[in-house]
Amino acid sequence: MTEHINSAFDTGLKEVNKQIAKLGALAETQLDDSLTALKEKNIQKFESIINRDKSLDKITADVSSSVFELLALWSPIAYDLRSLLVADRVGAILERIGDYSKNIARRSQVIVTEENFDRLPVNIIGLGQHVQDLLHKSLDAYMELNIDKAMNIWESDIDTDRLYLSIFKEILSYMSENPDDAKMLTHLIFISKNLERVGDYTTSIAKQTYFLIEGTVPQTKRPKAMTTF
Amino acid sequence: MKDVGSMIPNQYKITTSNVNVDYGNKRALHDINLQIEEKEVTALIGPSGCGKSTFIRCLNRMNDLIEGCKVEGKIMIDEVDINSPDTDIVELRARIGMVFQKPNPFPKSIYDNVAYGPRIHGLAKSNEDLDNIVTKSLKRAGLWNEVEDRLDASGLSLSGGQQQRLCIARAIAVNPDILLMDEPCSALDPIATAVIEELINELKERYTIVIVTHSMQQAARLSEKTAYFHLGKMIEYDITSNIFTNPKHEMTEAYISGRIG
Repeated sequence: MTEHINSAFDTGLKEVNKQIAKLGALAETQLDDSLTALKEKNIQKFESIINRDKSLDKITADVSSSVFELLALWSPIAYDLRSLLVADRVGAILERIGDYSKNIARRSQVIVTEENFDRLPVNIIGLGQHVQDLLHKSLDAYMELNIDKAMNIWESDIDTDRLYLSIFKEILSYMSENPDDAKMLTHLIFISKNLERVGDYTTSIAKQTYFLIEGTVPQTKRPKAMTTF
Repeated sequence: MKDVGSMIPNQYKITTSNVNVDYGNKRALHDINLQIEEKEVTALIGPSGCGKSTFIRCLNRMNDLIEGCKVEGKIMIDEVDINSPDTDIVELRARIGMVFQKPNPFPKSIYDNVAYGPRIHGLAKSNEDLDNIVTKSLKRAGLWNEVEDRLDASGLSLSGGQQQRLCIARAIAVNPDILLMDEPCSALDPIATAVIEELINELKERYTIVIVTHSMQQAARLSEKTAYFHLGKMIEYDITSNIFTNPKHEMTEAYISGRIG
């Protein structure tokens, strides 16, 4: 896409995209730290994740404010309009991913301080790494405007659903055998559900990327596995 | 996404086939093929000199008045080939009203501005009949309430927006089917523009309207279809919402979003 004759809109849009890139990097860090802290039982890291969430909220608000201003001043249309709408939506998605990471950190704090906690009974870190990979790839697709990468993410949500379902079943089975661990296991169910939701959000980033490039939403239905039983 | 080609058309009011226009040795329009539906607003957009005003002037044969201008191709309005030697040009122009960029009321009273067309076309059988035409036209143009007590005042005493509505009243007084508008709001402030735009929305219930505009937002707000012209060629013609959300042609996208094309 060529530049505008009046460069001020491009300058504003570049600034919004820079803020989104920063937000994306922070969201990835928060998710990575929440999983690492859970794995390492790192109490200090939990605190820093929870405190850092405010900066994601701040950047998201800044993105919305910049988008609002650019819409009001420039009345953009076609691709320019989609660029701003999608930036605002992706900003909100990344902020929600940050919220899920914070929630994982809060629940992990409770789990690792339980007296009888020794090790994680299910491969929740594996689910987390799978979702981290999706988040990274979805942000790449968005930044590179790569429709093939976006569609790969869109179609891969079924893998997240399957991993989540398998962990959910394992936890239920473990719970019936170890009723004393019900509190910890309930938190693990919520953590795995949070990760599954982050996976859903990565497909939303992919969908927004597709919309940005094509001006329409993907025509194929997103493949889903049953996540409850 | 709607597809203009897949829509079941109303009866086309205007159909142009392979319209070429030359000013002397210079070709101003190249093979314009366009179907305009009845009682819709069709917007023509494009950079200055792209041929949109030349095209609109083909529709009421105003180019006949320009020396060295040659129009080729076929322009059908309903079943009438307007360039046929059999076509009565006076009758044609009575069917097609035109409103210009700059309001151009005659230096006459408000009443006489509106009554002028019906008088020369012999549309009124009596003074009472003429009064009715003037009143009806001013009402349809949304001006009646502002001028009913001063119909004898000069048309030039009105504000710019009122003058433009007076010109619209004058155009519709001869009971046309089609209204051509060449940048009708470009000399008006935002309030007068909003009044004219609201009026156009009402007028399209009765008339087929073709509007040339440099305001992308105005084309988006007013029209059902939009045609983008560039260097005398029609680059894209589609449903307006498609043009402004997801144009098919890169040149359209570049123009509407102010990019270096």
